[in-house]
Amino acid sequence: MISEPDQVIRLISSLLALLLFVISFLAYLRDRRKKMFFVSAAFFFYAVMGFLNASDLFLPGAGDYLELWGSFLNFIVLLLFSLALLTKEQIEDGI
Amino acid sequence: MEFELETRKRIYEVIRDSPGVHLRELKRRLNIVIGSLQYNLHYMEKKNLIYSIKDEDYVRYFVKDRKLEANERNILSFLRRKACRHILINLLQHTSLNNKELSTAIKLSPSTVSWNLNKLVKADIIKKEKAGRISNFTIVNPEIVAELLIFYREGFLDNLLDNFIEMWEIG
Repeated sequence: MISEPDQVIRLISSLLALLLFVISFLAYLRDRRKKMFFVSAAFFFYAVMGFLNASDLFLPGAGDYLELWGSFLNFIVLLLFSLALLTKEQIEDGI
Repeated sequence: MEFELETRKRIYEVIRDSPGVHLRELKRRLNIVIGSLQYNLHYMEKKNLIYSIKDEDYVRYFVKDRKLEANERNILSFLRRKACRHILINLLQHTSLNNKELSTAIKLSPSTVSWNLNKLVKADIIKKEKAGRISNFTIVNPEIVAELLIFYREGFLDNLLDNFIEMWEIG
């Protein structure tokens, strides 16, 4: 049963991240740009991270593991956003 | 060129949304001088975008159901992308431009313009002509691109994706 306000907010954040993942993935499918791939992957992992954070209600015994995975995913998300920002499309010879 | 395209697009959209609309009504709704309206309607009829039927009082206009050919569908899929659409509109206006000129005209980074140009070249929609170290780009079939620009309809999802992609266009 979800009752804590912060868990409700976490769950809503995850759903929002999931929506942003869908939009960014559609953008990637349309244009096939590496940048969009990194962005969509970042939002995907952000959503997973949010669901993991909210899931300690359902899996009360898995606290330590969840914290470790949460920190790892946090790092992955920031890494992917950094890669997205640093990725530039190649300027082809003469173009 | 851009003005004419915009006018034709507006005319096409009114006819599409109000099938059977007549000349005076079109003039009233679009606020276009009658001579220009007749000229553009004639052009669009010739290009099979619309057709007219004369009843007792008026000539009424309708859009033609048009089956797109494979190359037209290909062009239309690029027109759905804002950056490509702006590149093609600029190339229609100026016939031939290089990356730097296009980048200035559509206010996107040279790398983004280069990426889109490369896609358009690969799809045979534009062609590249080398002039020393610079490459100039021209549309392979400007007539078809101009017609499809009239035909093209903006969609919510495409706008959403364009806005999302623009957020990440830094540098």
